[in-house]
Amino acid sequence: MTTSKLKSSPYAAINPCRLCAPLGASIVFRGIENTMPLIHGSQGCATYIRRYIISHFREPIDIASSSFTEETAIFGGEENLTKAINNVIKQYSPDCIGIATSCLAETIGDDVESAARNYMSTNPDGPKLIVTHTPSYCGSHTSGYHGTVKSIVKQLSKKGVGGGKCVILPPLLSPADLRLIKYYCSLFKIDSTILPDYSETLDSGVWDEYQRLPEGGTPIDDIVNAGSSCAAIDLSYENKQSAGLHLNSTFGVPLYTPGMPIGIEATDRFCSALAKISGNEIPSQLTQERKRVIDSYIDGHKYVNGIKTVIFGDEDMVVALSLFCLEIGLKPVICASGGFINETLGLLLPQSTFNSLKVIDEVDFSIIEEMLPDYKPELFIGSGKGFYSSQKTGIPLVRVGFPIHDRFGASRMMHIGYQGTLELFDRIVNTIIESKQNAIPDGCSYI
Amino acid sequence: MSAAPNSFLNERLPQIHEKGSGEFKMSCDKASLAGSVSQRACTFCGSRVVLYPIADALHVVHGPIGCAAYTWDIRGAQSSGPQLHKNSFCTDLHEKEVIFGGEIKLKNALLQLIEIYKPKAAFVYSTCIAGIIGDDVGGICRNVENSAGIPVIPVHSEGFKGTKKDGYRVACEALFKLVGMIDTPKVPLSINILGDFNIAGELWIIKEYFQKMGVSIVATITGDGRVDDIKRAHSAQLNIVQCSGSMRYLAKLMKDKYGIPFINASFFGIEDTAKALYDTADFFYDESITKNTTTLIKEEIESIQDTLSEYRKQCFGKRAALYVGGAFKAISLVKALRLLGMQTVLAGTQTGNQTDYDDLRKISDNGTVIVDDSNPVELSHFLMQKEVDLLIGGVKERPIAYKLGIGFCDHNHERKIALAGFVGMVNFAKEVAGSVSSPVWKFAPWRQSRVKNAEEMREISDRKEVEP
Repeated sequence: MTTSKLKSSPYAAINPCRLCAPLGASIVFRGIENTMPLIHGSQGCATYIRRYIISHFREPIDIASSSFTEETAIFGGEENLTKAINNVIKQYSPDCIGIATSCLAETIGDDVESAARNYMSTNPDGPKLIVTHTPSYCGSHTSGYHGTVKSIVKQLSKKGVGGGKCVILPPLLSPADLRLIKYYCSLFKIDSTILPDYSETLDSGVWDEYQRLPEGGTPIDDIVNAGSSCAAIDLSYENKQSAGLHLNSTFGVPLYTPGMPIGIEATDRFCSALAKISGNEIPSQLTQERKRVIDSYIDGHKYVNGIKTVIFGDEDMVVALSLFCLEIGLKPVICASGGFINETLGLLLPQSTFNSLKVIDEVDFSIIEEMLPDYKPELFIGSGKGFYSSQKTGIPLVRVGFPIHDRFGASRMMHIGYQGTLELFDRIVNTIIESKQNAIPDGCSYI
Repeated sequence: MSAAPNSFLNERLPQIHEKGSGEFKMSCDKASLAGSVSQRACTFCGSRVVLYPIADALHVVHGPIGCAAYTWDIRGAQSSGPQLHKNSFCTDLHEKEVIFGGEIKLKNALLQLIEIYKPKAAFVYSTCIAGIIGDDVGGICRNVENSAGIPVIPVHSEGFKGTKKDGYRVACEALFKLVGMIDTPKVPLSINILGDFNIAGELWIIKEYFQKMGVSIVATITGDGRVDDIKRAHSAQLNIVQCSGSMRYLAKLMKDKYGIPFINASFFGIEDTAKALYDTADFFYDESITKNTTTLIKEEIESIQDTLSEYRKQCFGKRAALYVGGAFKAISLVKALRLLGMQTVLAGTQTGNQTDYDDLRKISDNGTVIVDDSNPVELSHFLMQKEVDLLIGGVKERPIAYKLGIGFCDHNHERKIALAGFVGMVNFAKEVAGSVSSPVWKFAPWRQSRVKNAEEMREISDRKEVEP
């Protein structure tokens, strides 16, 4: 045990359970083809976020900074921004630069949009510049992620004639999850665009030579053509201000919101959407996989049933996992996010179920730890940052989502679809089994 | 440097030098270039990492959640007692506070957190946003200090204020406020250790050496640090400064006010560890200490020789690159690598100064590239151009090496293996040998294209081994 139990304070976040908005923006920009993320602020914002992302994905990610100095903070950042853009172009030759604002740039009132417009009008052959507003004092990395996807669509997408691809808007998932979405689309014979798509850029194979901007990512032409998509599927439950809604309301693109497909019911909804869009039956591979998930649910139901569980992490993941836990018989007692989930879960769950849960917005780990004696949970499901709470209490942690800095293979961890559900279910059952096994004084090799 | 690739930024060229390519005057000690993708963080980072290991202090980040989240548990700095430093405390400023000010929230947070966690002191870090909205952090700290009865020290580390190195200076100023707070007589034959952060328990290795020599330790600043020890630090007779970039300023302040001399030291590698211990013994000019030191060093070196020579066989003839925070470490690493039969072909630091780079150049071979405040474009270019087998750096540098199939040794905050002292040299050799001799590189395409080259190197190495 490394630290004593924590007490919370209404005036402070203690061991935070969320990250800041420019991190979400950086991951999104990394998922656009030949795009360089640039954070308009102090050097530290870019470097810290790089380090944080690298520790999770174990991949290089270059994020430029406009490197504010004291003079920049006083006299405005446009000159530094222009310099940063020029220097990025010289080193990286990007097709697009994604500019995310920091708190500093927002607070001094830099007009980044007009700076970007000025730059593009004087450099018509230069890369596209996309601006997203991501001050750290607003929202979380999840809101930064979704806000950036929306900014990209708002700034690039046009009503066109051709294309007709299906745009899929995933929340912050693992690269393996994104690859699974592509696999599903290919099974349904759907021509799709995943936005963002960091399945290769943040999980590539070994390189033949150094790639300053790794291959892969959503093609910019696809984003431009998104206005003429045949459909858009938003896989987040947090879709009140989404890029999907924008495509729907501005261009009339039919929007599907099946939610994040963790578990059978959610994956069924995703498959139904794909079936409807493609006009194809659900492929036999998927019906077979679905049966295997049901079979394992049955095989494992007694291990999981009624196990009191705390779920924590980012908004999308916690909402999806809450539904999944209820589907398999785990008993969520605390569902907590550093962002806001109360309203969403309130809409998704039956009133009685919702009332039986402690749902916490803007949580930190001190709040979670303080509540443990009242709820006596037996299992944690959440990000790797739950490690200390798990270590202190002896409650085992199943690591999911982002960030996972203390285990290997986070990029390849699957959460969604029948296959991801199965993997997740196996990991949960095995974690419970391991606890049981360790609790038998003289051991047992059959459980 | 000559013949820079087109993609290098012209403004960066004065910070890149290849030894033997002409006159050397490293441009350094300046702000990172916008758009260059510096590996440095900001002023706040500099202060935060230096003060972080003080285990019984409350470290409160006055700013938005990001600054706190990215620095939670940021260093593997171990404590033998309290663990308060391992938690992250942040005023988590929201839009409301950015508009109306965050002073009230800060004051309430400090009062409540001090009440709950009972720290010996509190450090309050000003971030960009706290600075730009004009919160009177110093005033709040004074106010809370009066009512809470513990030192509450503002750390003016707004990220835009300068470089990471400026953050070191701010941290030293904060530490200096504690020094002298407890009135205590001089301790005979005593030292403070400055600039070891007890990553992977390294401080404990060094402490044991001094104890065996008969030297008392008053304060360790900041590894395994305690507030009361720092308050008494002026009672030591000598300051041993390891990480000169971060802590030399504190040593200077202590010299000016308390007349405590300091020596620069490094505990990385056999040569530098031995020198540091001998220099300390020389300072005290005490027969018993001198005798103990000689015995200690002799025994320690003898005990590791055989193991080292085994690892040396695996490392011999390989080429290394290093990119680290401070220059003193870089210089030690060049020597340590040389001891393993490895040539350093690229050496860079985030925060070196002119003198550091002169020293680094002196000990480097002709053709070695020396870089200040480098970036991934430059580092990846030189890793390939110089056909490097091993990169020494931190987490941000690791994937640059791995994507090309180059070995890696973590010599930064997150290392879990002690690399200091004599035993640290063995661990270092094991780390390096373990990475460069791994069988997995044969699958890496870029590395594989150099297999022939590597085989030739091995033949040379074998020939050398049979020579007397």
